[in-house]
Amino acid sequence: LRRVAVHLSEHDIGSLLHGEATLPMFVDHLAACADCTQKVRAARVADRITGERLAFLDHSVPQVSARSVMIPPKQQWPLRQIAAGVTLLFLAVGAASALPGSPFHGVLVRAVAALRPHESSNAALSKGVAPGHDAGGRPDTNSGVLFVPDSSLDVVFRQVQDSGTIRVTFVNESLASVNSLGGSRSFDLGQRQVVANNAASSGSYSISIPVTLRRVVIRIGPDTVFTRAGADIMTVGRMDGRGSFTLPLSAAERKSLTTYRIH
Amino acid sequence: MPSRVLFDRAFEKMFEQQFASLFRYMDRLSGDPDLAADIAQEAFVRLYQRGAFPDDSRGWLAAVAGNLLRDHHRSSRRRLELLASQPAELTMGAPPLSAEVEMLRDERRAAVRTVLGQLPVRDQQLLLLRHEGYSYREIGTTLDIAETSVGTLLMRASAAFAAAFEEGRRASL
Repeated sequence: LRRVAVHLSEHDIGSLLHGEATLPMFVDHLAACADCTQKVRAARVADRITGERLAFLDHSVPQVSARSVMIPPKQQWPLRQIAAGVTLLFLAVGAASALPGSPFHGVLVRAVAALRPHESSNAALSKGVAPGHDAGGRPDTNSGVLFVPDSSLDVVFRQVQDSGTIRVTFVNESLASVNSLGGSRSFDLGQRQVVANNAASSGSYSISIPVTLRRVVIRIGPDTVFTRAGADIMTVGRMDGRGSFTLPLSAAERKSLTTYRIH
Repeated sequence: MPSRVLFDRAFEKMFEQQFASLFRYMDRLSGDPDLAADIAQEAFVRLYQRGAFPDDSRGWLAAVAGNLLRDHHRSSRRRLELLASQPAELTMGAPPLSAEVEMLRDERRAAVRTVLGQLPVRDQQLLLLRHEGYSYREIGTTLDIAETSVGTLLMRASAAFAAAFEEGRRASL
């Protein structure tokens, strides 16, 4: 009797709309009340439109297997501890090797990867070139440079590539790094500049920049694709939810210039 | 058959049924598909390590994922945030042929995200959970609100979303 006499509440309409209540519960009232019938219809249309709009947000679902997440608890902590230990060791070695290198200029030219056993890192340093060239110059191995930057940093990629990306991440550390992921193995380092000799390369790169470094420029060939000046960043790349930027090395894949601000 | 084997089988089945849904919810909420994938997987890792299913597994997973996303935002204090995303006068490099289609899709996505972002987080979650097919009970578990309040809160969130969209549309005319 109450259902016939009393208009449908928001909860009633929602429940009816979302399948939480059945029509017979309200059918008598709806048969007699044009106002509530109209409200239910309008809510149904609005609900459908909302669903269609929200679907615009969707990306494709990644292919993940159940087995990849079936990690027993006891295996997880040691792995994390090992990873943390390796990271700390890496940073400690980097910081320790930075001190005697160039304390006055604040720049250390130090190669950290792709060292061949028979190749002397001192020889490479004296040339100002990061080690990593192999005999054939094959760009198929990861390599990189780790250094303490001066007050500004320019990262220059000599060539536009047909594919590959540059991932730029700001870090709460004093060391900067440029790493090649299957791309160039050769870098020239100066006080305020790193040059990647990426001719005929199709690989990708990752760049870590101390968040305290307030002037950063990244160029690909003649084009400036990323600048940081103080809190402002302008780039043709896109930022992800974690604050990293992805810049395409191909000119065709670049987006329009976008401004971001560091808070 | 050992109980662990039974749990593993049930877990695999649940993962197959629920992972895509949880990913979509997180993707829509965060706007970052990589982050959404990480969080959805981490929520399932935690469910597996729990060793037993909660009463409302779907709601439990969504609640854990929501907490993980909140923790992520809290820990990213120096995260870079979008200041302005406007077409620049200067475009560097020739755009690919499919850029127009991609741009249109990006614009629509950005418009919806802007409107959604104007709502309180709980309203966003209500709408996204509802449109991902979660029941009132599951939504109540996820957001820690009374099941009897969900219908009313949802209707208001839906109305706020529609109003914000309409306001944005009028403003752009």
